[in-house]
Amino acid sequence: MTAPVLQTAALAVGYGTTPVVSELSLSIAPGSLWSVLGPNGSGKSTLLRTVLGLLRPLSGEVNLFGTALGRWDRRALARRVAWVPQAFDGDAGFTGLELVLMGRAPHQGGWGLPGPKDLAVARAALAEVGVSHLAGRVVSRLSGGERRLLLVARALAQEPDLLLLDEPTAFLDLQHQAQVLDRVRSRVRNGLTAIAVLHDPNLAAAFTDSTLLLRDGRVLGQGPSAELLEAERLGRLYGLGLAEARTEAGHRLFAPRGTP
Amino acid sequence: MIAALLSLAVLGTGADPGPPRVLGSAPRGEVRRVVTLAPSLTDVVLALGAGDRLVGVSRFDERPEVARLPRVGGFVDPSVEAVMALHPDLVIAQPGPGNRRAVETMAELGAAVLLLPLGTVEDVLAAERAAGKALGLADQGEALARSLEATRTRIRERSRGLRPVRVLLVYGFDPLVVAGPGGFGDQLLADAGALNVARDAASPYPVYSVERVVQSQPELVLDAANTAAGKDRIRSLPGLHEARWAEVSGQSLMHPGPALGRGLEELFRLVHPEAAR
Amino acid sequence: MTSVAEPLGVEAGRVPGVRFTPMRAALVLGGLTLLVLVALGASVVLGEYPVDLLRALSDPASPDGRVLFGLRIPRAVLGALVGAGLAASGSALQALLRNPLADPFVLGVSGGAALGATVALAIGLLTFAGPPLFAFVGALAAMALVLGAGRASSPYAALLTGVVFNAFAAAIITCIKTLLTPDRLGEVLYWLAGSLGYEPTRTLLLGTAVQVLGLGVLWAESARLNLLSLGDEEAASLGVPVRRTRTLVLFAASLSVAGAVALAGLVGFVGLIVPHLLRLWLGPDQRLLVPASALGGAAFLVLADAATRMLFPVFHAEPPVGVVTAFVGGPLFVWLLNRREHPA
Repeated sequence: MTAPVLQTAALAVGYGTTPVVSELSLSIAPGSLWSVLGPNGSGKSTLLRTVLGLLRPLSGEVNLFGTALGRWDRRALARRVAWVPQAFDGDAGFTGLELVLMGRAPHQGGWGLPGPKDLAVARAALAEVGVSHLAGRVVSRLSGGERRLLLVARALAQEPDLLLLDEPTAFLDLQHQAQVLDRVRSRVRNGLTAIAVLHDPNLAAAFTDSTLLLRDGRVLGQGPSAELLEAERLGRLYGLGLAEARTEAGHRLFAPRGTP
Repeated sequence: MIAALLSLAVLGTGADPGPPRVLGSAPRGEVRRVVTLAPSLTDVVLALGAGDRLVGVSRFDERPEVARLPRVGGFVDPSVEAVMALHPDLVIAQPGPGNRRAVETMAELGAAVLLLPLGTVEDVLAAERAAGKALGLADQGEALARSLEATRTRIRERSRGLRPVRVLLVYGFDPLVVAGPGGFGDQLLADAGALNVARDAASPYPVYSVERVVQSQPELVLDAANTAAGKDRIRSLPGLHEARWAEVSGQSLMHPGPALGRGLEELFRLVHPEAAR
Repeated sequence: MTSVAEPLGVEAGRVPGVRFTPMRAALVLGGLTLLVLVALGASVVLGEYPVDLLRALSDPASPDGRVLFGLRIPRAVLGALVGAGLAASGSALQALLRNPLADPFVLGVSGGAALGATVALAIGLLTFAGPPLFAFVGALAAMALVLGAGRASSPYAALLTGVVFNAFAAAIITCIKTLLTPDRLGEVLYWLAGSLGYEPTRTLLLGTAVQVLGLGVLWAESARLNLLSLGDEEAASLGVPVRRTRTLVLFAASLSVAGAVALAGLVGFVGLIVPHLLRLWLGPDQRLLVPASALGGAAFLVLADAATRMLFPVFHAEPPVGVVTAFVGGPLFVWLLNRREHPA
């Protein structure tokens, strides 16, 4: 059995002293695509930030690729783990290609001058996400969805072994939502491990292998998506009644049951 | 108004500016081209009868004799280039932290600089003598100094035996700037048989506390200010309202220079009007 | 916070996407260096004293030569140093604070320098290099305070401390101003307005060393500064040692500003306008902006200083160079902003 990419034991995460989620014990195997579901404020983004080392764990352990989080050198970690954040907060004066090239930073020297390989990887990442036409466009002129796609491309350009995505489908139209998750799953088939915070259980059901459910500061459930994602449990997760249906192709769908 | 206040420009507050001295090389040969960096210094040169040798003055100079001369800058910002462009044989300046760098640069570039502090009456006497010597007019310089000394002696004689009058000598009303201890104003007041009510101040040109002035209850307030801005407010204060107010004519008590003799005589007339008749 | 600034002339497809290449850098920086040389040349030729260049160069001991080498050149060099330091620090700070309107004077360093110089002038120090030395010491003290506070909780603690310290220093300066006699007051006001004087070679060498150190560190960190401008968390996720980079950049910028303010007083606008204008032209890449700002700032201030000297016959005084930078920089900036908002 191969070593887990991410392993936590009784992890508690949060800001300050109050944990948002506690008693998290995960074991994420390589080559798997996980989704994290839960109502707003359940700690999904906080979990990702803690795994990345941006937040200190309040208690418990985090191990990445077999090494404790605290022992990782930041640059070395950045070569293995990539993050697609929820919002683009930075200087919007950069072009798409410049932004994606920043993903190569962990592999580059002090000046960040891109070599041919860096350019190739960056352009490939842009193509993969379907935004090659944004290479020369300045970010400030782009829509929220286009920026998200650039962030995904940047993370892919990092050539990570573990990809953490925070609401990657926000602001995206249906086509791009499907495209992004499709690309991620394709990468996962080739060895990447990915954890995606999603707000839509339907996407989780369609694309992911395993799911983590968070609610009220606890884990409501974790395991294979096919088993975990069903109407009653999801209803408890989101606090409303859900109806389940199946498409002709056999995919499961969830929707709020009979709104007045 | 600022110009007039600034033309008091005595920078010896706290630090002792020292005796008249020359920076850089001494003037060679005859001094035909003179630049002054303050109106008081222009007064000295004019009083020595060397006005025709002036080639440049400060922008605060207002005397008609120098109206056509080029201006070389102010007290804290004389322009080194403007001065050097006039090819002066002698530059006369009042020493102070503001113009120090500029004046030193002039000396480094080869100009002969004569530094003349003008804080006290003794400074003025020494300045007249030193300037006279530098200009080759030592006799005139000596004469000017003797004349001022004689005036002082004469006035002191006449004021001896007279009851000292409590006087406040005002240079500006808003803020209230008066003649404090250690300056020529204070010295002339003493010569004229007056008691300077502001003699407990910290410097020769203090911004004086209005309350303390009220407390000191001067008998005579001498207005040597250039504008009347703020005068009414001060005048209406208790303690000052009852005092006798007199205006000092002209600039003779503002500029430490050769006109101090005239200033002293006028001072005496104002302080002791009955004795001056 | 998304930046408003956007490079001119960047439309879809017109730019290959990557704007920092060695070739482009060489072109831009070479062009700016040329501009600096032209500015220095112009500055050396202009002034109230009519300098005969041939005479000055062939005989340095002649009056012409002494004015050229003793006045014009040192002053031009000083202008270049101060302009470079203020503009490059401004650029780095705009990236660090993710605010294109940041100004190097928010650091608190300028407040410390102003306070030091005011104290020196108030005491009437006639000793060696009174105001500049005190200004530099005051600046270093402020820097230590601000960087020390920066170790505390948030990265913005340093910024807040700087702003608060500036207010504090300004209050003390105001207090001192009311206590001064009018002539002393004039000196303080003059220093605070910012102007270029004639410094001895030794001082200029020291100033150069300070700027080389400060700007060198800034340029070395410029790639990481780019990443930092994405946000602290994103930069960290890309492997940037955020706290260390932040501290280094603040330190280097403070050093440059201290060196500039100590010698020239509070010359405003250069640190804000020059990097911002260059950013509109070149894009936000600090690897290019830091050196470009240094060169642009040098040229800008040298030319502004030459302009103050040309104004002498009008006012019989050289206005403080900060006045000229504001008069020129302000309208230029507004015009440029308008052009972007309403392209012709």
